[in-house]
Amino acid sequence: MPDTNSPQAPAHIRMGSSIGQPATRREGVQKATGAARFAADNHPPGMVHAVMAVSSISRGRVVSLDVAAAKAHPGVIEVITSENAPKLAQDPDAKDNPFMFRLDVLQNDRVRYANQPIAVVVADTLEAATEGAALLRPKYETEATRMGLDSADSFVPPAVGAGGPAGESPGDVEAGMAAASVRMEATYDTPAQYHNAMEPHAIVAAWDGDTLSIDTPSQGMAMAQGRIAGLFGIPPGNIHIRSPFLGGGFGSKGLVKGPQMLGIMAARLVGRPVKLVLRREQMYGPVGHRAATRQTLRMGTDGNGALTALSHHAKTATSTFDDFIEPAANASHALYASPAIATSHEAVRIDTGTPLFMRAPGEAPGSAALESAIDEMALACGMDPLAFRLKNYAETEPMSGKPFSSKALRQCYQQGAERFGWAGRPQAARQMRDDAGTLVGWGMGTAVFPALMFQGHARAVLRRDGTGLVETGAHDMGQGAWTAFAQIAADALGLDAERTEFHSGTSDLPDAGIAGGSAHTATVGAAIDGAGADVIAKLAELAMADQRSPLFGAGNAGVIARGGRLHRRDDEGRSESYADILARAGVAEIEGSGTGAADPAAQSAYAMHAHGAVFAEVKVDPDFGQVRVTRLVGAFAAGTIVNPRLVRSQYYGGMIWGVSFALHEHAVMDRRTGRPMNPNLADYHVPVNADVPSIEAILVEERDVHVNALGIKGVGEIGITGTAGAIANAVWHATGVRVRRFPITLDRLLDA
Amino acid sequence: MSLSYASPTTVNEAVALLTGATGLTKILSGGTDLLVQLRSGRVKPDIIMDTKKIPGILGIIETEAGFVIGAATPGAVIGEHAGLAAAYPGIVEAANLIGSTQVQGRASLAGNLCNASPAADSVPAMITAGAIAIVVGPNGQRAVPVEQIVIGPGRTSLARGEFILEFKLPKPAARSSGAYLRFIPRTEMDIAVVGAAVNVTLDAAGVITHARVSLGAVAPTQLLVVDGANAIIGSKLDDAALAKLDAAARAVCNPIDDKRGTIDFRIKVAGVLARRAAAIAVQRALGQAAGTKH
Ligand SMILES: Cc1cc2nc3c(=O)[nH]c(=O)nc-3n(C[C@H](O)[C@H](O)[C@H](O)COP(=O)(O)OP(=O)(O)OC[C@H]3O[C@@H](n4cnc5c(N)ncnc54)[C@H](O)[C@@H]3O)c2cc1C
Repeated sequence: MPDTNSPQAPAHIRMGSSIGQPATRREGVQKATGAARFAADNHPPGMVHAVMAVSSISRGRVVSLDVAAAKAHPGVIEVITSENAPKLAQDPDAKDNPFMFRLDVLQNDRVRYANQPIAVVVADTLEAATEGAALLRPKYETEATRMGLDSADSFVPPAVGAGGPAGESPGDVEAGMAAASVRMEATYDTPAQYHNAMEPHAIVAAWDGDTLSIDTPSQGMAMAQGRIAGLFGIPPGNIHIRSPFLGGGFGSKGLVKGPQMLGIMAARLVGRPVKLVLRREQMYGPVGHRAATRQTLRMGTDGNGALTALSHHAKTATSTFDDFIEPAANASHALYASPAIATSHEAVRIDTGTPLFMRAPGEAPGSAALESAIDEMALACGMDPLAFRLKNYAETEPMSGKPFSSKALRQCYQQGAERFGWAGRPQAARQMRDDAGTLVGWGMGTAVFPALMFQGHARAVLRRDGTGLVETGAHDMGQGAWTAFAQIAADALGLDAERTEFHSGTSDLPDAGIAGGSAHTATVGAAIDGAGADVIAKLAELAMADQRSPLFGAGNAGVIARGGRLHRRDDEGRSESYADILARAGVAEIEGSGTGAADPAAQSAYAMHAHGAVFAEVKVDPDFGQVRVTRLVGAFAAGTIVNPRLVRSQYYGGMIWGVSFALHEHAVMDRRTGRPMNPNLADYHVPVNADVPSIEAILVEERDVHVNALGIKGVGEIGITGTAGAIANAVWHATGVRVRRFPITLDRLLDA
Repeated sequence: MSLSYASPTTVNEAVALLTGATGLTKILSGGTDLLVQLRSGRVKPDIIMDTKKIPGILGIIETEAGFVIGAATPGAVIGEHAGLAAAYPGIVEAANLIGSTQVQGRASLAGNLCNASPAADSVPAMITAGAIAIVVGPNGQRAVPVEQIVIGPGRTSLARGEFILEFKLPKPAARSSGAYLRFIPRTEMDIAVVGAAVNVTLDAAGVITHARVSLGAVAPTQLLVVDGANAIIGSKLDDAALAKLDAAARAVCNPIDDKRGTIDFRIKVAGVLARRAAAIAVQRALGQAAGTKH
């Protein structure tokens, strides 16, 4: 078992408050006992099963399907192909915003990638539907597939990631390189990766006239409503989504995908509730992935090890029919000070499903390359990697010159290094062995992730019985939204957690935006905080205007809400309970609302990021090149820590993802057919428990008064950044071999 | 197409069923290979014959002569048998490497052997232990050394109507022990890139008097490496003997290139693993704790 107990006391405990407490998951018992209902656990009466048939080619056309054979199979109710699929109200290839991705929903016979849905079989049982799909025996007209970053001409995309520019270049990089006394240039490859959430994409859809009720895991219910409404020609308000629990999303459930649309379509066609669940291998195509990258880093330093130039170029791939450009080079925007920085991107179109946001999009592969390159540069300068990073510490954001809203990275370096024992590290490679003769290496990486906010809303109610209610359509992907938001809700209402009811996870509640970009807690937390402030203000107005209240006339001084009572700010001894105020006013309940969104003024004045430092120890078998991570210490500063237990868990999860990135994960594509060759969890390796070492995550104290009222930055993705590079650097330190191709498999280590 | 299931309660009933059946009959022990193949459509049997109701096919009996291990005995039971673990630690550690805790609850030695994967973990250890498979069939019983069961990937020497009832292991001589090591890129839940098993018997002076060496995943079947055994017999496993063992192990390899490992890498690993397994086996035979792998 990994050692998951960190000795430090949790940061930011507000005494007597809910925020800052290490509360356990509110839904933990439900999940552990199986009582929690995930989407596919819902079986409404009359429900039938849909199974997709997917393409085994990556480019061409479906010319025939043996629909008769499938239909003849006992239990099969309907076979939906491009011939009989209902035409949708909107072209699924239409795109009116960058978050609208083109979907393959049987509107034609074209095949654009392997595992694209080409038919759906609906049957009484899962078995019959599965057999029916197998009986379709598709025939194709096949065109030559384009796979890999060199298979097509590249282009400079108009935008990368969520819409940022493809290139930025403050300062003169060439002049900086020319002036440098030490230079490095290296190219790093990262592979295509698939999200592989434990829970596959699933939907249970039921129509009642023109209203639609669905159970599906969603990281963004309101956006899903909008997309479904457009395609099926019904108002968004007619769509009711339940998504109380997700078995992981990692970005692949941010937008509703083609297979889910097919479940909805099937339900409409057969006039019964339909359940459609993807098989694991069907998740390698229509539901997004992280594209491969090839990144070239160039750096120069002066005689003291200070950067004179930093250039980061990323080549990546997107699909032939849509654009998502992994913004890998942007990882160099926020970390290291340099008078000249240039980042740029190019892309090729290949025959895959469209790539998509995947946990730390851009930052994950970008950080792996950048942190490796920084290590190489430090070595070229003859400097310790930590000293080199401190030498190039950015006091203002390198790209924009803006001050940071807060930045406790120095403390992260210091606390992480101390805990890890970095000071004892020999500078040269291949210096350390354990008792068994295994090579030992230590490496580090810096972690950074922007503190983003989207928009979300919440509603708060205070009731005459002294209890409160907060509602918001937030999304719990396993990160702990149920728990953290209930904690924020209790504080927002000035109530104990036990007296605060919290509702979430359905689309009829206030739109909470999207759980992505590590921004959900900050965004929805601000909405809840605002809703609480709003309802408390209304309550205070009631009390202060009432001569019978001890708070009468407190108007100018104001009140403090705490423990279910309002206190006069200038005389806390004078107070009254919420229940008494409402009872006397003869009101059953009062309601407030709040919105969370980034503050444009603060955003233009400050650069906002969470930071961290990750230290890794690896052991490498000298004969086999087999790498084991034996120790990971991460120290992260991300503003207010709403729940230290959950936050640690996010850091652990991110760091484990980093282990996966560095050593295990890669999709193997067949260059002849364009098919993924390892679309299952036996062959697509992610770390198993035994691969996960002793992990520590240190929560470094940080107060940020600019990001949002609660001072919350994000913690969901930062753990990956820094970690993959730290492990790569530790492998170099153990062996003296620099592998620039991820994952660092033993053949790459031995062949180098 | 229909699939039927039978669970006979005697050997005779089982043999009659196997010989009388038309179409493809598959024998079921733990099902951790068979059911996966069934679901993926790789095998399409007409009849599945579950052996687990046949008396004696589950469980381990320790006798004066040695051990009898029921063919369908799951890894979890093998792992908890203290007598077997003391006598044949290589078999126990190999059987317990198979899969996860869940898989261990079902996976058997007979299934691991008769699935006939070149990478099956327990097979090299069974070969070096000198295990004998008791095969039953229409012509009665026969005793077959384990190394003669598998004849190629997915193919065994069992005739139609035959199945394995149990495995016999002799009582080990004094100062005997064994070890199994496998190489996989991650730490667990993976298929061997190479596996190596070694069994040794030492004399009172610590000289190896008897040895068997077997390799997995480096050829179409598991290999009994006679030259490897000869390389260390008569030695105390000094560096020269280890080098000869390494060379002998590499010499017999005839592996494939695949996504788990290249030919060159597999050959190299085979030599190193054979050395390491021999070192552990000797330490165990000397009654020393065998911890280090390098
Ligand atoms: C998740 C997972 C992980 C795995 N990891 C490993 C691993 O690490 N190492 C490894 O070696 N294997 C591994 N396996 C494969 C499998 O678990 C083993 O091969 C196991 O020992 C098979 O035993 P079983 O009893 O389940 O066989 P079954 O599936 O019941 O049978 C396997 C084959 O043997 C035949 N057979 C079974 N019993 C008899 C008999 N008595 N006589 C004749 N033929 C018989 C069957 O007809 C079938 O062809 C793994 C499998 C899974 C699902």
